[in-house]
Amino acid sequence: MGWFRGRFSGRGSRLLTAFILLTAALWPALASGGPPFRTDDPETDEYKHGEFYTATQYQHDKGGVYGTTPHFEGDYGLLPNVQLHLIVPDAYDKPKGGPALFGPGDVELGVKYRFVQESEYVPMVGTFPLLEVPTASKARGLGTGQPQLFLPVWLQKGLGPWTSYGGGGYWMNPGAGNKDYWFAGWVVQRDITRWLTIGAELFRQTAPVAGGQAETGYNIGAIINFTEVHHFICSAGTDIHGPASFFFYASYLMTWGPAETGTERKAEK
Amino acid sequence: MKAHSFTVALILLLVLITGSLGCGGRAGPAVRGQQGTGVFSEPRDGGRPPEGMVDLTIEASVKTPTPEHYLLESRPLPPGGGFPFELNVDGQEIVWNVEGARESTSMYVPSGRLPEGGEGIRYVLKKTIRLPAGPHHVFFGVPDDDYWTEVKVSLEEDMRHTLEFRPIYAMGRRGYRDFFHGISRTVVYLDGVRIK
Repeated sequence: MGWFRGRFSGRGSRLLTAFILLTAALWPALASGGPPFRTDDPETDEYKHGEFYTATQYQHDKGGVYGTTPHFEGDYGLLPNVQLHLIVPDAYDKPKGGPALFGPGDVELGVKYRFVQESEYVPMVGTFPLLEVPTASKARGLGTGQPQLFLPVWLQKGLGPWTSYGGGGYWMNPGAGNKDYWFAGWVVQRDITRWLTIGAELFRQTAPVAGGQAETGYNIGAIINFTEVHHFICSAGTDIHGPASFFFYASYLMTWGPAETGTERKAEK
Repeated sequence: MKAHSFTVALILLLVLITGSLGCGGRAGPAVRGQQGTGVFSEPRDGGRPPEGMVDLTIEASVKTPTPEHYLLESRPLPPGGGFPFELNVDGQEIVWNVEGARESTSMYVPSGRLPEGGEGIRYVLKKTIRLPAGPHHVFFGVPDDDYWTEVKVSLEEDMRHTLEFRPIYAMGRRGYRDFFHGISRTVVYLDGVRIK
């Protein structure tokens, strides 16, 4: 923080400090979630199938803007019903009236495990614990400075062209002024064509800092499949109740996997 | 209100821009559309082929989404109706329009989703052509899915041959394949032996 003191003083400095603390506290909510939404789902990658996202996120509220420029996300089906997850972000902060700050953000690690398969009347159910590793500079407002852990449960059910998923979990958010908090969200999406799926999300998050505001918001998103391998994913939304944020997410997604999946090999026999 | 309007406008703009890029179809093989003749005929009876000729049965079974599955995707039907399968052997082309039947099957097995599970329309192609024994260059296409493939076959005299095209459907972003995404490729069998 010493770097800032020479440039900001009094009320401006307090506002800047508050913004940095809030940004750090909200950081996991920005980075996590099932693209393009904050809410995740229990569907794991097919065995040996991988996803690689080159993405950017943007959030704007009264205190300034922050996001990633870009972040890289990798997901891989390690075993049937088990998926590994990694996000490496390049973060930025631009407090209102302050300088723009860029640098490595907190790395996110996760393992998704689906323990109930979807059937005609039963949704698939899974968990997706996430660990935020404090690799970023907290002093510069680019990270949390503390490891954080998210323990969620997610459900998903498809019905023809419709897919609905959601759930929630508990964020363990240590650190001075921070509070553990809950996140819950639900998504409904529909296939419009073979190459386009659109969806909408409603989410609620309790206050992540002492004296902070709870947040209720929505996102509208689209998944565009150019081919089996190349995809474009985006969403945008805002708070209905809360710090009046505007969110935006866009990513190019490349997928890969074995030429023949397990299901295909079974079908051939 | 301003933020809400901006959000919706932004998404619509992105979908319009990127969506227009996703409409291009794959180019068919150069031989497609050639109107050569004299390579094969469709035998009217099940009798034995004349000397030097063989009968080749073409088989494929494809499942497609129902017309109401996708909101903004319509499939123009050919004048005769049905679902078109294209075959081109050594430059002679034929299009068979096959009638389909609604099929609703379970989407799931204990280990996950089935590629052909769910409600769709099943089209079964089984047509026999008569052509000279020997090597041939065969193109097979499913134009509704912008899909074509080609194989070289060598047909021995005094045998009934079967050339089967089994669809492998495209996968979604999580790697699961299903017929809702259309055909990605086919596995080809000649007389039960995989040749592609």
